[in-house]
Amino acid sequence: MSDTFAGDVAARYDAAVAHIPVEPVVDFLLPLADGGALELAIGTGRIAVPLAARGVSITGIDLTPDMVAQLRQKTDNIPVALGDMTTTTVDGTFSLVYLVFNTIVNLTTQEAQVACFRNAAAHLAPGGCFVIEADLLPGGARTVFALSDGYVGIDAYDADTQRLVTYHFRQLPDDSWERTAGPCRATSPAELDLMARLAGLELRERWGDWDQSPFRAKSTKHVSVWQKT
Amino acid sequence: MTDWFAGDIAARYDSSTAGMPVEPVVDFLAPLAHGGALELGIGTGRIAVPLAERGIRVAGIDFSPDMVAELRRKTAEIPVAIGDMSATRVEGTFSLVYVVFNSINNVTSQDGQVDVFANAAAHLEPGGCFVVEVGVPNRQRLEVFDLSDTHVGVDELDFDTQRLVSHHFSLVDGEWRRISMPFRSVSPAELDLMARLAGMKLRERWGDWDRSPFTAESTKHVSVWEKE
Repeated sequence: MSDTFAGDVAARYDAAVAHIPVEPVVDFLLPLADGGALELAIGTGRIAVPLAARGVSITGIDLTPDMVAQLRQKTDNIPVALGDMTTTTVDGTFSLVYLVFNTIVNLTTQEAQVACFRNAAAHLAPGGCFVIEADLLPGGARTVFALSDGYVGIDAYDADTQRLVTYHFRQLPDDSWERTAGPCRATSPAELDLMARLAGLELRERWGDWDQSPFRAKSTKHVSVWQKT
Repeated sequence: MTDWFAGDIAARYDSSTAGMPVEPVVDFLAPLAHGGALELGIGTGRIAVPLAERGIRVAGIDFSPDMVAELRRKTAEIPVAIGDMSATRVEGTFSLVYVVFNSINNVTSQDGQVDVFANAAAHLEPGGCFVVEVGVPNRQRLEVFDLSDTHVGVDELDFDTQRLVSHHFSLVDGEWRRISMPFRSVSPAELDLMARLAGMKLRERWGDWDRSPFTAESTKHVSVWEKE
């Protein structure tokens, strides 16, 4: 697997996502985390650090040492195992495993996404929940999802393979531009429900966002909760 | 469950589908059917009758007695069990189970479609194949799929539930009639997971019965899963 979050991307990650609300995510996850939480792709700890500050015991898995180095600058109290979230295991079980910000699509095959569900289920205590925040399938082959003075985001999507490449064009402090692009595999809520079923999990809730607004035909993303049966 | 194919629909079914090619379907299925074939949603026998004429043992399952009555006018040789394709059993096993022309969408829940795959697998011998012909999910909430002097077809899709309603406006005996039939739209990738849950694995995926490639522009697919 290629590490698209190494180096500069990791160094600038927190600044790049600073505008994305954290509080509603933590409010949503907190009541589920009474038996400890495991964050897949914990990264710089954008969610894990404030969740831990509410008294939750948190462990993480992440592929990118540079991202975890950013987390380490904030705290030593969150243990992280480095590795692929489809196979990497940590000790113990949890009442909550979660994977936010459309990170499931960084797994580029259906097989790997199924393995991620199985790995999440293996870390859950009975009755525990797996929470995913993910986007829906793109509506066309080429989609501009953001366009501002300093940033352009474009999705290129192949409907037959569900392969998605997201291009980010960002203006740097020296006024030059950088392009980053990562291969992804887009996936639908219904497909995720079947991955959950293969892993012994059952859909409990589906929302349109962390604020528990309804999931509707016009929703652009979903926050889904599957429970280990 | 409602029988959407009762009465007039059954009586007019063969004439309303007369423009659809049968030969490429039979050519595709026949080599897989050496151990007999079971058609889910066999209907009037549009595919099953010509397949049986090639010397293949064919059995069927269908929910609509009126559709099967049309089949019975053609042959008494094809046994058919009346019932829901997600649960109805027939005797014996087959080297081929198939469901064509979007009929899997007539099962309107994910659980029901998962059960169709399990039921297909239960009728297959090891190494046998399940073949499905079905459209890919629409990109627009409303799409016109047919517009002629005698028929207008409009699909209405809810992206959150994958519920699809096909609105048909047909000119029959000088009068326009409307029928709105409920379906559940389903993606190829989702079908692959249903197959996996049923112990089957994707072997081939084509854009049509003529084995044209399945691409991002394909509007349907013909997929073959093999029982492990």
